[in-house]
Amino acid sequence: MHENQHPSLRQSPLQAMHEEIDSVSSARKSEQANRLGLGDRSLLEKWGVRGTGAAEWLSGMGVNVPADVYATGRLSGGGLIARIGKEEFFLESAKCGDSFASLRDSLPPAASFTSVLREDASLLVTGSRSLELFAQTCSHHFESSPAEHWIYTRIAGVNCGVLPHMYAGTIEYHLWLDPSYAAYLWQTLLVIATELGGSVIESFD
Amino acid sequence: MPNRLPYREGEWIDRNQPVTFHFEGKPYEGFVGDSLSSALWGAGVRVLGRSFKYHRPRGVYTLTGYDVNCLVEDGQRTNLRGDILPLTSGLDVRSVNTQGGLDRDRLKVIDRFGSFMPVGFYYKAFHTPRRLFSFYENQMRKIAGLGKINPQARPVATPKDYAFCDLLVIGGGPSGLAAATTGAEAGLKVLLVDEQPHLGGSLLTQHTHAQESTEELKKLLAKVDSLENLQVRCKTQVAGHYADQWVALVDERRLTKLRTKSSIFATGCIEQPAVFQNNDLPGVMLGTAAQRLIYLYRVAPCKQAVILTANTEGYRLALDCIEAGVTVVAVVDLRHDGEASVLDKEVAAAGVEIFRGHTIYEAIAGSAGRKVNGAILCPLDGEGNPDRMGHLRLGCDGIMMSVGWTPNAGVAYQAGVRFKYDHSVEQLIPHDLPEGVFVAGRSAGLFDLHDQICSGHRAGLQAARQLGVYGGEIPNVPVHNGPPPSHAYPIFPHKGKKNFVDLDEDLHLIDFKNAHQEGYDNIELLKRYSTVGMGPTQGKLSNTNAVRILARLNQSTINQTGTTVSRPFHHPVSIENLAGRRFHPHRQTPFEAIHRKLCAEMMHAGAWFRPEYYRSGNSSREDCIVQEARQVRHSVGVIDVSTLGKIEIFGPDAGRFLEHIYTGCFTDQSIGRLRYAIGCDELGVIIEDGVVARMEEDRFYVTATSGGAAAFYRDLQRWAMILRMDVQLINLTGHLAAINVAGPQSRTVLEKLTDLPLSPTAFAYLDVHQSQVAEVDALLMRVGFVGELGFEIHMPASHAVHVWKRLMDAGAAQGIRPFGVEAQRLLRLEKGHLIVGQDTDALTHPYEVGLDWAVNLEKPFFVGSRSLEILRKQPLERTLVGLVLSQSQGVEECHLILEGSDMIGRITSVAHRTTMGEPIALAFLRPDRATVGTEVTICGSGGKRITAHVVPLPFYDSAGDRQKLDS
Repeated sequence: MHENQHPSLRQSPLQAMHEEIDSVSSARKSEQANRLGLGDRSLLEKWGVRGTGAAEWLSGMGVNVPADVYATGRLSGGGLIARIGKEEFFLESAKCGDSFASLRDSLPPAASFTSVLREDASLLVTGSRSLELFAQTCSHHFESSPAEHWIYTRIAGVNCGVLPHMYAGTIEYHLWLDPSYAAYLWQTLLVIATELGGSVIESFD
Repeated sequence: MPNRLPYREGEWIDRNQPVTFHFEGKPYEGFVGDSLSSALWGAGVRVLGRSFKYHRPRGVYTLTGYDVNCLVEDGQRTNLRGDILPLTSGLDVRSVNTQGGLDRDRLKVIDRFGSFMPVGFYYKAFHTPRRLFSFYENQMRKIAGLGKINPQARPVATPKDYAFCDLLVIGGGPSGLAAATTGAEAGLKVLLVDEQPHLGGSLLTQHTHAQESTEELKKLLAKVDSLENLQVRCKTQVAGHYADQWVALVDERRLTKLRTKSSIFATGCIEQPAVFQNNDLPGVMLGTAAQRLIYLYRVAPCKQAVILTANTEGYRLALDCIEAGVTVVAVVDLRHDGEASVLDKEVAAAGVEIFRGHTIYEAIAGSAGRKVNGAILCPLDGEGNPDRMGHLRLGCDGIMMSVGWTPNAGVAYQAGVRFKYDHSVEQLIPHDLPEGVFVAGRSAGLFDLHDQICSGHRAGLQAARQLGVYGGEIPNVPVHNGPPPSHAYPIFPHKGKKNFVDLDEDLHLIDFKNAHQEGYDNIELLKRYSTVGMGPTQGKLSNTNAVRILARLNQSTINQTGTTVSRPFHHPVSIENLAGRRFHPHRQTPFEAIHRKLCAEMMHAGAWFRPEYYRSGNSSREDCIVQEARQVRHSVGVIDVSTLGKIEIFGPDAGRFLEHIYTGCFTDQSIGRLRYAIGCDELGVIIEDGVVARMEEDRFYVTATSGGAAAFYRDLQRWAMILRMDVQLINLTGHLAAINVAGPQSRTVLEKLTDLPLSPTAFAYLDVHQSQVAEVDALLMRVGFVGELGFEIHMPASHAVHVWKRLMDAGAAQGIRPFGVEAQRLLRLEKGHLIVGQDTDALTHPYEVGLDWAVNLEKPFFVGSRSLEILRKQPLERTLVGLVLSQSQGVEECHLILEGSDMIGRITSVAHRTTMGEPIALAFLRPDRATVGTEVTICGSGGKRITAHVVPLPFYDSAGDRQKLDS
């Protein structure tokens, strides 16, 4: 229904949180990030498509469509595509400023599937103590979940999509959630992460 | 520290770390590794606490925390069990439940009146005269009780976490260690938990003379250390075992919710006391307590001991005491045949007199009941009753009991294990195990060390096989050989009535006989009447003897008598652990930071925070609200309505689906138009309202109330499945922000930010358009909830702050300002618009609130249609009306409208100050009193009667010209 055409006007739901933080964030590959890091990737462009025939249409548009529900794949530009339902897909760009406008504009007019506005907040959790952070906030057994496989669960009471992702040889966790819960979840995770020796990190290389 | 013994390998105390602590205001010395009880006993303190009911002095009894003789508080925390409270520097504690301190407790006088307080006396007394009941209750709570909560205590946020394993082994004794290492060697991820600070269990205190056992312990511990897939958590209790192998683990710091695939209970046995006169005196203790003092804390339990026994462990205890320098005056063996093993001769060789077929009939009290001065022995007749004629008096300062065991099975019961009484061991043993649950060691009735290790190994293999990682043979179940380690009835009557069965609740033997005489001959009823097993330890020392007593009184067997139900928690769990870190998810709109900068007073609205009003200078809350409302009436205001539910419905059945959900029609709705819609439940009760926008032929966009949106969306999903319609439901509530621009100048402001024609003809009332506002794609709806010309702008949440700022800039010339929820409520009240949930309740149907026009009963079906068909034919019992109040104070929402003493109505919304000047209200009123002009009486604050008269709705702009403003 509504799509973003002005990346420069966008603002992360955590903007106010970032303005309050007086410490300097550590780099994504820092020692800090290796211990426990929390990053904000909400400004990455997201988009969804849903409905009967969506998979075929995406394939026809040259997208490598994951075959199974909750499987994920990579877009040609490095972004993410996740099959989050039988006929529902979630896409996220690899970089801020990348857009799905070309795909969106190519939607056929009377299709049986529809474009879905996705304004999800997205968070990044890195480091060896990630699982301790989740152990205090989530009942899911992440150790038993394979990488690159989408998980729906609740973290600190908030419904989240979670993707364990291999990055530079180590596992990190990407979280997506309703943006109205972003500030709450960020503050909650940051309190626990700080107790565990973690801190805010840069989310991008 | 007069009672400390020399260093011994394996002791838990660290002699290099002395600790000073305070108990009852006096300083004492101990060591790191001590518990409070062990340190006090080591310092020569014999009275550690007072009993619950009679305030009798109590000392070390189990030294495991399985009794509550030593309960203390430190000002922040209360009911701390001294047996397991680690000694730390600066610890400063006092005993609970005393008046005037432990030594001078004024309530100790109650002990003299015990005869007047038989079991259940409070059920029979104090209920008359009725007016004094609260006085009695208050006094009894003061006299009988535990610690007091300090409401000023600083709250501590403790973490809660989740954990996962393949195999949980409960108990770190020989069988538990064998089970855990076997499971881990088979490849399972194993978690081994033990309540104690160190692994080893009975190997640490009860097999100490055998070189083989020492070697076995070292071997098992080395194996534990070497296995990476075996995790150990000491000082951790299994507080509860729930369905699907969810287990609650509690340690000093946190509560862990553990999901395991299988569980092995190697929880051992709890030593049971004998019941004889004064068996609660300080100095009377279980044999295992004495061994713990000797081996773990290196404290001499006493100087001269009499040991009451009925098993091999009692003889081993005698040797332990002798080695620790304690003079063993006598071993009193309940068995006529005595001990068959070689230990009998070893004890006799040490010069200890052995009395076979005898019991301790009474412990002799010294120093006003503060210590043991001796023991009176009696021979037992063939029935096991003491023969008082043959009594004998021995001097001693300690009595130790080793007469039997009961499985530590509370948690196993919760896991579904069923036990039966087995006379070969005179204890309960498991006989029915649920899938994935195993029992090993002493709790399975095995007392030989080799048998215990074998049974642990076997349980580990069983778990491995059940989980598919082991396919080999399972060894046979070991069986106990030899005489039973427990005495069948170590309970001896005494005319003195201080032979305690339950030390928690101060219940003695005669209490059970009295209860039985009164007809409480069922174990569950007996428990509730007598309160046996209902104290803090949940009957760990009393339930077995209670069952034995009842079985004898009923002349039935233990199995016929049964046991009581074990429920979580197995041990007391502090409330701080239960509370843990709390998660209260709350939602924020993208404008949260802006609202706070604008001095908004925020309020909860469901899961959201919303501005109630914006503070302005020194103006009062009411002034601010009215100022905001007047701004909307006279110029232009903006309100953040991002909290509204926003749901897209897409698909060929979208229109039909909405007609099933709402009471109105939508298949004939024009594209680009809005309709007000109400949703009812199956009873015809209004549960939701909002607007429905038709965007395309097969695409609708609906709004829902802020508080009800989540539930409404779930309801839509449910109905979509039930109706099997081809629709896609997309919840955009958090993804879209929304601003309502309202007031006669709203068009002027908005025109500066959009190319969309906003003229009355191009953008009519109840039109919806997609366009751009401030270069951002947005949905614009022309609505009039507050009764003025207004536009609602829905836009992606990430762009919302930009649009807000541009709107404020664009409206600067018109004095644009935000208004909060309270101003919005006032404005809509003036307009007579209801709020679902405030002006409706759980019974309100559309006909009561004047929404007949929104219900179309011509449709084939919608949710609630059948109920509404019936309701339509019935006379109304109430109707929503407008009231103008005679005064501006004293009436609040929910105040009643009276006619004489009859209730004829209720206020649903009220505004004391309005933009029109008069105080107004919406109210439900009996239809015969709802005629315009009728005067009614409201029962206001403090019962004051306030008059009002019924007026037509709406209060403001009855023609609706303002919201359709065309110029």
